Amino acid sequence: MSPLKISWKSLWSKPLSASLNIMLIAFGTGILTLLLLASTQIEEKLNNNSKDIDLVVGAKGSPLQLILSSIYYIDFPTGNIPLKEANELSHNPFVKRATPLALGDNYNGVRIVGTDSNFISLYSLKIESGKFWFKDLETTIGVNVAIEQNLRVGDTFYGAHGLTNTSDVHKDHQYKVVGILTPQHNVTDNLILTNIASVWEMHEEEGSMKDGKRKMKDGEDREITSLLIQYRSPMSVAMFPRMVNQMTSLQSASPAMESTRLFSLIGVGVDTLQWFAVLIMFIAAISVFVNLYNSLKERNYDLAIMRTLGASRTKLFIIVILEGLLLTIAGTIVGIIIGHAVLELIGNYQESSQAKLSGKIFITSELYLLLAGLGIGIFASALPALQAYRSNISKILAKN
Amino acid sequence: MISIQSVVHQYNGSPPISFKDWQIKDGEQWLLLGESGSGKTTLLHVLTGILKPTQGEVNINNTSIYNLSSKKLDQFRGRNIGIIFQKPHLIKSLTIFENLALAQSFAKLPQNQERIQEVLESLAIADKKKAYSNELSQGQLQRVSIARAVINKPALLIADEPTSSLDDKNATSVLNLLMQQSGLNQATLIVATHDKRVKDAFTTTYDLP
Repeated sequence: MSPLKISWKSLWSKPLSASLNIMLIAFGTGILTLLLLASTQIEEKLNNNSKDIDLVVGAKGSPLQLILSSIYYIDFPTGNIPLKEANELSHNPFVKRATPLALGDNYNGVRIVGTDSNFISLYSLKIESGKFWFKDLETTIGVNVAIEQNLRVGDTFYGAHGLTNTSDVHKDHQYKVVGILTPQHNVTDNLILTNIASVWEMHEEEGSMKDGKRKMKDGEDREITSLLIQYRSPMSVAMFPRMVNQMTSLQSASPAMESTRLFSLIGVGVDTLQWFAVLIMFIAAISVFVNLYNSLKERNYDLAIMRTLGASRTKLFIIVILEGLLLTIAGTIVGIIIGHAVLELIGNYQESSQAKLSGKIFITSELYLLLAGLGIGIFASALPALQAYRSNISKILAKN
Repeated sequence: MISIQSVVHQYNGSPPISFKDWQIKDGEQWLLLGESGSGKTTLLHVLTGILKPTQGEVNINNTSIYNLSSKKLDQFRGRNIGIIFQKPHLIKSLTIFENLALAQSFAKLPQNQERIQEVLESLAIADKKKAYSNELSQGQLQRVSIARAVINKPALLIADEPTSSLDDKNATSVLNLLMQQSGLNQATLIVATHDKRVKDAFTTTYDLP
């Protein structure tokens, strides 16, 4: 009979305390797994979506909000900027490529983005079926949009005003799907792309009714939401943002900087949770220790008998260590599974499909969690195991 | 053949206990008689290789057991000495069968199901094979502990106060089982007790003063 089997049976002779220990460790590991997975995925998504964008230029307001709305399509835009100034910036020598964005409408919660062909090269978009948008009211849609909204090339739909699902539908203009993108594994999978003129057209009548000051058809007075800038040279980093911020109505925001800032904001919460999880793991380690230590007190006669049956000191040491390891490794594995399941559950309830988290992705850092579980097991069982190793069986047997 | 020569043991801070020399031939059945506190348990522990005496030598089948390494001694004990304690002390988390298999595996012997079956049958508890120790009566448990002691066909079978907590009827039956099993397995038997009821069954006695 192997020591493993002896340890296993010994643990399950007390199912309640074994389960309690496994649960404690699973809880701690679960939280750590969840944090680990979520932060890796969020970071990955953030980087993936902003990798080629050096700067975003938009209306004054919160720079973070500008980044969130123009790169991740999460928050509301900060406002609009005059097309005239945007065009000036686009032709600035520091700028390699400027991609205009016009936001403001949605279809069942999917954002409709007015932009031009720069967007295609910026994200290296490819067509799966159909073609890229060209004329007004033609759209090319991301692969997820096609699946989730059940849209095919040739289908038509009405956009609605605002960025979330509303009933304020633009009934006068019908969009037409002319193409579907290949999966890009970034935010463009969840967007409807069209030209800027289409977005303008949508809002013209409304605009003229609500706001008499806005003039129609006058190119110079048009507005867009923001510009995605790619620099021509690294030197631009120092000069260009300052230049933009000096223009009265505009502000610039760097995706890299704002992502870092966002992370440092979330970071406090993540850190707290992390320490909380570590604390739980620590308590779990103590609980495993106390459990083994107590059970050893009850069982030292058992262990002495094992010695009289021919088991060596080393064997007893191994049996006790294995008990600790079995508990913590089982706990860690259950915890990792729980972490993944919870993340998947969170992903299912998430509304914004842009930042959807998945529990089906495994990362190498989880191996460290397993190692940590092993470490805790050895830490918690070392002392009891040593005690079993050293026990004076003659004394124990004589006591009875 | 088992012998002890000029064995003296001294616990920390107490006067030394010396034991007179003792020679036991194969297959003999001995009674080790002594009041509590007379060093009976000490001598048993010395004999079974779990307490190294301060002085003296213990030989079992031409092996000086305290010259063995700790690991070798554990294994030697597992193979050659079967011990029956006053209380059965089975491993609670294992079934009766597993308890006996454990004794085989600790002695580094291959698991032998037929042997387990045979021993359990000879003690009339084969039907309890799959039971756990908390499902058995005291008498049944004592039988299992005898089974465990003889499972590896030890050269020496030692029983420490096997009858003291039993009534007359059970005491007799346990004693009979012990003598029967030692005969069956050709093991030398030593029964240590202060129980006078046991006395008549033995012809050879080692008295502790």
